[in-house]
Amino acid sequence: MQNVVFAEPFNIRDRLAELGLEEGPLLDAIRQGYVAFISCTDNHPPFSKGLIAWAETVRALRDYLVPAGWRRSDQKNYSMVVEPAGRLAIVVATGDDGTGRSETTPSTKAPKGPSTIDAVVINRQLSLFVEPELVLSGELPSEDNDDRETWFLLVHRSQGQVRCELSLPLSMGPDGYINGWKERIILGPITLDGDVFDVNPPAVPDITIPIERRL
Amino acid sequence: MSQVETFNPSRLTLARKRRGLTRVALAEMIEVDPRSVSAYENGEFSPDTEKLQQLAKVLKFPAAYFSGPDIEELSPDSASFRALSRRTAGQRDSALGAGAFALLLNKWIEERFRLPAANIPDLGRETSPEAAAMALRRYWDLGELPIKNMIHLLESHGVRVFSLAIDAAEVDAFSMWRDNTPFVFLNTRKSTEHSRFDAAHELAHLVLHRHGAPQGQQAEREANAFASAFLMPRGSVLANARRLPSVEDLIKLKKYWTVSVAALAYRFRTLKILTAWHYRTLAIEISSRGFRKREPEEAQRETSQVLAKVFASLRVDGVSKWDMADEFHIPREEVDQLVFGLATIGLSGDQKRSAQNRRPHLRVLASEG
Repeated sequence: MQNVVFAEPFNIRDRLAELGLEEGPLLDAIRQGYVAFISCTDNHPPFSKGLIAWAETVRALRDYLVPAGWRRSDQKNYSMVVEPAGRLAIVVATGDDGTGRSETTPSTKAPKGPSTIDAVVINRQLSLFVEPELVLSGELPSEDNDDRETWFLLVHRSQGQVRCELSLPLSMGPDGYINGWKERIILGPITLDGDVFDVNPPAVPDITIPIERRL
Repeated sequence: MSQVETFNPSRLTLARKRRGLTRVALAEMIEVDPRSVSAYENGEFSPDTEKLQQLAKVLKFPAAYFSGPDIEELSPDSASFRALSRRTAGQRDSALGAGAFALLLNKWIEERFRLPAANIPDLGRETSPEAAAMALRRYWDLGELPIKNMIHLLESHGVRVFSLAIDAAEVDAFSMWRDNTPFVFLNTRKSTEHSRFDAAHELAHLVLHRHGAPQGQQAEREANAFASAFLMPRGSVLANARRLPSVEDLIKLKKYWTVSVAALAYRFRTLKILTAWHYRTLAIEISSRGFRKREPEEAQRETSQVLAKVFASLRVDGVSKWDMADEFHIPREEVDQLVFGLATIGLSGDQKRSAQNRRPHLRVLASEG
């Protein structure tokens, strides 16, 4: 597959600028999704964390772009944000471990369970994020808009970092995975501190206050 | 019925204010015309024996109290009050009344003990509260270390710390200077972390606003900024900060400085460790989980070292703090409240549970027979 990877800072900046984008705000949107993710507690339904993170990322992305003239589109429950001229759209999805690595070909996150395609197909995009067991028969949603490129903002949370990229998918296998990209713009990564840490306050001496009895 | 010859009008005013009552309210309680209460307090005439007994009963002060010498009263402008707008005049007067008794108790203690002298610099000319906090840390040789015990720190530098045993969320703390002695009153019913921040906030008023300077909301903002920087110095926060922390992370981290999770989040925002939306996200969660009202994983309560040592020493001599109350004919409860949560109340007959009893306390004083 044709695969142009932008991984150098200047190239990234210039290519994003052509698309009317900047790296900083895109990373902020991903951070905002990550904070939503880590703000979930054990009392949240387990599957909902990824959904909440995704939704918050979509919202943050729109918060960034809609004031700049982009518009949101939720046609067929496929949530995207479309640039003013309508030639470019961005959707948000969780990527697999290849996300953000220039030397590999990423895909949307691998399925975890047996096929639940019937349920998943009802909401294609949600499935891409949460249960990406999706058969798209090689075709991406285009909202009756044949000349619109649909870019994926792929986000992958891993130990110590969130890797991400803005990429233009070109092909999909019959299993529903994107298996080829026309362009990939590597963003970030966002570096995290580990989940586990200890707090060790330094030893501070006790204060002894002299009290003297008057006679 | 005869009038009480030795009646001291100022003592009535103090007792009434201590109870947060207006003259009209007090007049109703003892079934006299409001004019009469005014007359008692102005010294025009004294209550008769029967009315004096009623006054003693409704105000819960011993009848003998009303005949003593003048007690130095505190005026509202002598003390730094926080959030004046949220506090009623009655609550303020009541707190000031407690302050007047604290002066008495302190005088009584200082007649018997030599306590540390004030070592509080005037930092009112520093460029910012943050700079003043660092200047005080240098002055006291604290470096970037966390403050292990705010009350001991204040006491070691000559601040007299007393309790404001007032069950009103509106009353956090106040401070004042009296004859070159600084006083800080803490609401010991608040969480340890909240109380430590209050102590640092009042310390700010002592170092920043001793000579007037800003008043009202500006002074409060300065004191909060000072308290935040004093408890969580910039260097140690940056060294221990986490990127993209969750509330759970903050609950762990706060133990380094013994501050509330809300105060730590705010400090992170001030130091730009958090972006605006991240701070908002955390603040919303902190509120929704009730952490502003009930601190998660609260630290061990701080107590007064000065009061503990003083009372321990007096006990050896067979003297109790209640002897002071009896000497001045003020209710023993007043003394109890001034030390509530600050000192072990182990005196015979005192069944009150101090706030301190919530944790095992290893410095139990000699048991009372």
